Amino acid sequence: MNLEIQNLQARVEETEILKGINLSIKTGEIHAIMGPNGSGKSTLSNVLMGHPNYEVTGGEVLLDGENLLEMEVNDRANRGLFMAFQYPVEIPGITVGRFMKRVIEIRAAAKAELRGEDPEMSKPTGFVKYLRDTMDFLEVDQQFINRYLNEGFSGGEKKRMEVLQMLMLKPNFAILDETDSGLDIDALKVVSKGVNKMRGPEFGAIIITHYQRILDYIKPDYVHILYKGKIVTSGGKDLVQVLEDKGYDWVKAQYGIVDEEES
Amino acid sequence: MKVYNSTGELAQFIGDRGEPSWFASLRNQALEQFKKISWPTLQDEEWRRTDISSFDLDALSFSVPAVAQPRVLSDSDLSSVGYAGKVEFSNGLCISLGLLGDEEKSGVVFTTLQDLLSKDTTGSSKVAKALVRGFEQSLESADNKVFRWSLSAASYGALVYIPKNHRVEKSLRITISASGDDFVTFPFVGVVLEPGAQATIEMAWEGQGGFLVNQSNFFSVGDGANLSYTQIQKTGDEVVVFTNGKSQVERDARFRHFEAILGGGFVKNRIDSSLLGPGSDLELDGIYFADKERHIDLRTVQHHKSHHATSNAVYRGAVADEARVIYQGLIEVSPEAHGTDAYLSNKNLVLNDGAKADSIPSLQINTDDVRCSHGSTTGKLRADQVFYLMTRGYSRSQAQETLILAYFQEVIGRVHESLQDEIYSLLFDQISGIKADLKG
Ligand SMILES: Nc1ncnc2c1ncn2[C@@H]1O[C@H](COP(=O)(O)OP(=O)(O)O)[C@@H](O)[C@H]1O
Ligand SMILES: [Mg+2]
Repeated sequence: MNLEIQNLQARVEETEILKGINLSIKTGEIHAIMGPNGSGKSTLSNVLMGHPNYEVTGGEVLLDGENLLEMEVNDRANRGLFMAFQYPVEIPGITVGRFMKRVIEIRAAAKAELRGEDPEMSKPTGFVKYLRDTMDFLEVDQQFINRYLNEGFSGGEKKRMEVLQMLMLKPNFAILDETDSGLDIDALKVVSKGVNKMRGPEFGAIIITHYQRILDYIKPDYVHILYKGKIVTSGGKDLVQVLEDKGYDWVKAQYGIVDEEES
Repeated sequence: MKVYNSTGELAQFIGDRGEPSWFASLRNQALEQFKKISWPTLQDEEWRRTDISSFDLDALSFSVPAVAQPRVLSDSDLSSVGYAGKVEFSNGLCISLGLLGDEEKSGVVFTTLQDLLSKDTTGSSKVAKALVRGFEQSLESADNKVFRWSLSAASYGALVYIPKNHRVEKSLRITISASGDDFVTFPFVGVVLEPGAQATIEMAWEGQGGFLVNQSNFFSVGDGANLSYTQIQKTGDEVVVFTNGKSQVERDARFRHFEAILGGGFVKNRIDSSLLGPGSDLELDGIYFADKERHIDLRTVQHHKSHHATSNAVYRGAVADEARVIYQGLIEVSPEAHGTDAYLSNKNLVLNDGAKADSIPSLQINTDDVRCSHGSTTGKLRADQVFYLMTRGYSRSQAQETLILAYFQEVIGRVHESLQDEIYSLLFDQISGIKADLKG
């Protein structure tokens, strides 16, 4: 599958944030997007998933040739798009176990419908074992099954919960929005293990980060640098090191970016 | 069947019943009290948001059905449904009744008002005495005409008596239903737990029609006793319900009262609870949901009359369409009730513009050395939560339904386990019936 982002522009509450993003991703590829705080990384993620607070003001996004931006959020999800949230919400009253079961059921029904089958007949089997195995793989305590989703979880636990959902749902494209931020090295390794497990011809990812650290564990095929709502340069793995060595000021100088006057 | 056409015929109704004088005199007292005052209006604080002026209450007819023998439920009938006892009333008539033989042998009484009155002509049994006390205490707290009306006319209902130190492990189930239009029906539930006793009681109201229910409940929880009572309102949208409950919780006793108001078109309920001994522990919880043009007004009173008692009220509601919900919670602490620990919390979810929720908590504290607090919040569905669930594949309406159920989950978790599924599925039916476009 492929995801084509063409000249994408978007704003939040009258402020232009994305100023013409071009990016093309195929399954089988891992792209890293790096950029300083406020450069528009989360905005890009949210626009791709269809967050209602972000208004697309120009450009197009095509998922296998279909207009992604016109799809409902859940249709995007059911066609294989996934986002690991930078700040996952807490949902008291829904246990992780109940939530995951429902998510898997909804997905099975949606896929059956896309194939033209009866969604009623698509009841998934072996859910409990699948969930338990995946939790073990991510070193998540089984007791989390009975806890309310993200309620009182530490930052790292919330991020693992996002990766758990990704592994359970097996998306074709995953956007990981700063999943590495705030993680200690052990948690970072676990999260990376999750992403690496997904790697393969049916899976593509956008790893969003502003540190190079996670890219030591998940080797990207392409690296893009986002700055003030634009991708200012793209390259291979080596770009990570250049950025690490020279910093974002070098990016600014190199690509002739002038800071606007703060109004 | 005998029909009475107005409140003016109450005296005749009482006379016709031929009840033993120990009970008839209670009714007459209630009737005297009833005549003394007029119907509540918007000027009465508790009724400020619930306008009953459009109901012609005096002109409502009520009737006494011809007596018929209820079907007797055997031990095996009861075991198959998992209850220790079960009684069912339909249009004022008891249609089935049963209590496990072992419970009966232990001295548990689970019967109907009519049955007690026909057997105890002198009022000398423990149950009769407890009923008199309960009735008198109810009448004392009956500061409005609606409550007095129900006491003077209480014509059928269930009585539960649990002897000292006896524990009834399984639940007792009371089902009341009615159908038809333009009448009022007066059920009564009386529960007495002697010291150290324990019981779990479920009461469900069912039925459809343009009728009015005016119910009174009485609970007496003796020293160290433990009573859990749950009432589930599942009647149709045309039904008008008034319920007045009074409870007395003695030293070291525990009383939990849970109401799930998931039916009825116009509901005005009150549960007024007194903590009478140190160590007593009261829990008043509830959930409610109203849509279309329904109206639900619930009041709780946690009255601390003794020192070192604990009470807690947790009410959670949701409102959609043009509906209106009101919760009024009062914590009252008497001068002698030092060491009181009382809490009250109310949350409302307003699902669209046009729906309305009022939350009116109040504290009347007449002593120092107390820990009392209350909190209330009113909110909408959260757009970030809806978005999150949709990114996982939930449709918008699935996400909204799920979030409404999740919102209620914490309080449903406080109800007796055997009822959680019943309440959950009722709630689910109600939520999937919401017509309005939800916000969020
Ligand atoms: N909901 C919002 N309301 C107003 N401004 C926002 C909102 N979300 C993001 N922004 C602004 O948009 C810019 C980009 O934000 P974001 O996409 O979150 O950046 P990043 O994820 O790269 O740190 C920032 O200047 C931020 O303040
Ligand atoms: Mg961000």
